[in-house]
Amino acid sequence: VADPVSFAPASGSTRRGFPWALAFGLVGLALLLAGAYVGLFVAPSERYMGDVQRIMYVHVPSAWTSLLAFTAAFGFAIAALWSGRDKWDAALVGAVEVGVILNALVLAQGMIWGKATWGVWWDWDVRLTTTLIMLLLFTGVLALRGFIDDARRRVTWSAIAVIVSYVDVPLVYLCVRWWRSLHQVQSTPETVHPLMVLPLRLSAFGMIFLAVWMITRRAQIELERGRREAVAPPERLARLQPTSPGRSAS
Amino acid sequence: VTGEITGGWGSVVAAYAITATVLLIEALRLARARRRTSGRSVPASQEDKR
Repeated sequence: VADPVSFAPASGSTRRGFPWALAFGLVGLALLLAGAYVGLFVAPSERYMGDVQRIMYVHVPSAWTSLLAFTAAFGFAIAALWSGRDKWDAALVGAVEVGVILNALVLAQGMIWGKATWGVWWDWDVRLTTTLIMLLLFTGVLALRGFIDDARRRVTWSAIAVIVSYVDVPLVYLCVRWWRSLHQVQSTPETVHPLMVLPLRLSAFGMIFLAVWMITRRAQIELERGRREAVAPPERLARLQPTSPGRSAS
Repeated sequence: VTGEITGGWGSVVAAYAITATVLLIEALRLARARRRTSGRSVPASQEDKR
């Protein structure tokens, strides 16, 4: 509460936020709950894997949405480099953070599913390995931002790091087609029971809607943080100074 | 790789619980961060007088 920088008045647009974002979040939550209900209690068990296959209804939507978030981050990175505007950098942060969270979830869900069906928590299979590399690369982008104080350089280097990291994203999606993999190739609705397609779609759209809300929220926070940094550097610097010469000498 | 299915509802519940927990924590983190930046807390000028 004593941090004056934290309570600099927010601008009108930031305080109002994006009204549609909350609607996206609520719709996403409703779809996720509906998807979970249908996936857990209505959809039939899979012939070979039994009930454990129901993990698919959170695992696949998390994977799709993380890839979409990183793809959005790639677009925001190009826009940030092109225009140099803070709003694209803020959107980039939001997309990368949400993508990293979902990426970590995908790995956790996949390990649980793998232990049940493959008998091992982890295998250095090409899909699993490229997904882990994707997590490390984009976590590195977030870490990199923490090391750069200058805002302009932070925008540039974050965007470049995202563009370089994005090379792994199509690899994650296509590797199961290009190389022999323990992980199965993507299914199509024609090869899946309709009662399995429904919860998958509900959960996928729910996850995407929720991710849009989270990215928007995070971008708003980042924009506001950037404005505070821009208007209050003296106070920030003052807080770094020793409180009294006597204390520092003792 | 054993080829034998060992998991059941326990694995499903674990996967759903981890997903729900992480998403809930992230949503709360974002909501809390938004409150800090909304300007509704104690203004800096009043805080300085204490």
